[in-house]
Amino acid sequence: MAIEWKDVSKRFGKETVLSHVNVRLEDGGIYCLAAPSGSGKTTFLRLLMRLEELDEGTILGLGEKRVSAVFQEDRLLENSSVLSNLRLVTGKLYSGAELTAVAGRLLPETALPKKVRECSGGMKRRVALLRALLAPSELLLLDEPFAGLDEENKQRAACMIQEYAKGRTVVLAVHTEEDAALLNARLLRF
Amino acid sequence: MKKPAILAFWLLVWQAATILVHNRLLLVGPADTLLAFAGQLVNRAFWNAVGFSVLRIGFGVCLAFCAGLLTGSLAFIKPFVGELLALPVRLMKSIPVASFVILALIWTGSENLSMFVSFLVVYPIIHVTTESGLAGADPKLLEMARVFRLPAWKRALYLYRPALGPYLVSACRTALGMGFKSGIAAEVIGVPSGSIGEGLYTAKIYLSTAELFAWTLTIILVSAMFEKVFLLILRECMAER
Repeated sequence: MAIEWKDVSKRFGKETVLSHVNVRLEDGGIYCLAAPSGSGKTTFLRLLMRLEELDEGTILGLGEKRVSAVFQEDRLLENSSVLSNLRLVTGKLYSGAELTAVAGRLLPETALPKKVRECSGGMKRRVALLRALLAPSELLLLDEPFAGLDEENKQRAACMIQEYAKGRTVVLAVHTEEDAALLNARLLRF
Repeated sequence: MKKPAILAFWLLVWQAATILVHNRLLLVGPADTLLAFAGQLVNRAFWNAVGFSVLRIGFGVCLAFCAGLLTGSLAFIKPFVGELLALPVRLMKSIPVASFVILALIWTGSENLSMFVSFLVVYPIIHVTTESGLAGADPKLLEMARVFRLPAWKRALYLYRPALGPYLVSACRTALGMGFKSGIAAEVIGVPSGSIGEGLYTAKIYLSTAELFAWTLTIILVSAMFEKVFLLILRECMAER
């Protein structure tokens, strides 16, 4: 079932962040919010995550859809291992070997037993992305998933997002339209 | 190297003070204390007394820890429970130990007095710490858990436990020592037969300062060992993996 925003507005105090937004997110589609900072991209995603209340309008079709996400910050368990962070959301969905193989596409094999606090910024971002991709969900929300990644890792991440997007609706927030083009995403404007 | 040097310095200060005072009733030196302590080590009654007191105080402390953890968590989950318990917890924190001791002597007799008193001293500290420690969980991680719909047990284990850990370890460092000290103080007042408190009381009656110091050394050692083992287990339980 598609997700439909009808005349949605969101304010923080006197500041209107989203004003009368009308968009339709088809099932299985990849959508991209490409806009400068402060234009409401994160708020748009937070509304889909049900972390904010609407001030006006409705969002239809969100129902009981399971959500997985990359947040603006990594939001990882810093004192736990990379593997524990992934297991936190996957449970027993993947065997140890499967998880190692999938994670190995974005991370060096030696990274898995490492504590997150010992990882570099780019590595943490990749762990956050892996966590979102591997968690069971119908709606995948990615806020700046390529932040801090070099060109090679960005290409790999984009490839993996496209692969794991199958059967899911994906909405991502990026700074540039080039990043949106990496995923052949439809641009959302509001 | 630094720690033994510091210890040696204070032992020298102690010995110098003993020579200056020159009165074995008022102050005995480290050598006499160690001799009295060594004399006790071969005494069966000494070990029985240590066992009697450590068992009761240790049980009181552990019980208080579990109860404080439970009610502190409940108070965090249901603020009503916190409001309900606020008054008794405040009373436990402010009523002098001596009043509790006399009350406990009337209620339970002297045998389990130290258990009761150490419970009352440790429980409010753990309760308050648990409640505030859980409130310190990272709100951003809690949002993450909400989005990923992590079950309650995972939130407790991976988000609340690490938030609580440092608070709890720090509180236990204070509470365990206090629990032991007040437990022994209660024994000195209640004088249960075959306890460390009785040993201290007897040393006082016979003006045996060396024995008094030896018992004090025993309490310090036993309390430190208990604290070390307790904190080791606690740190292990709180460690993130």
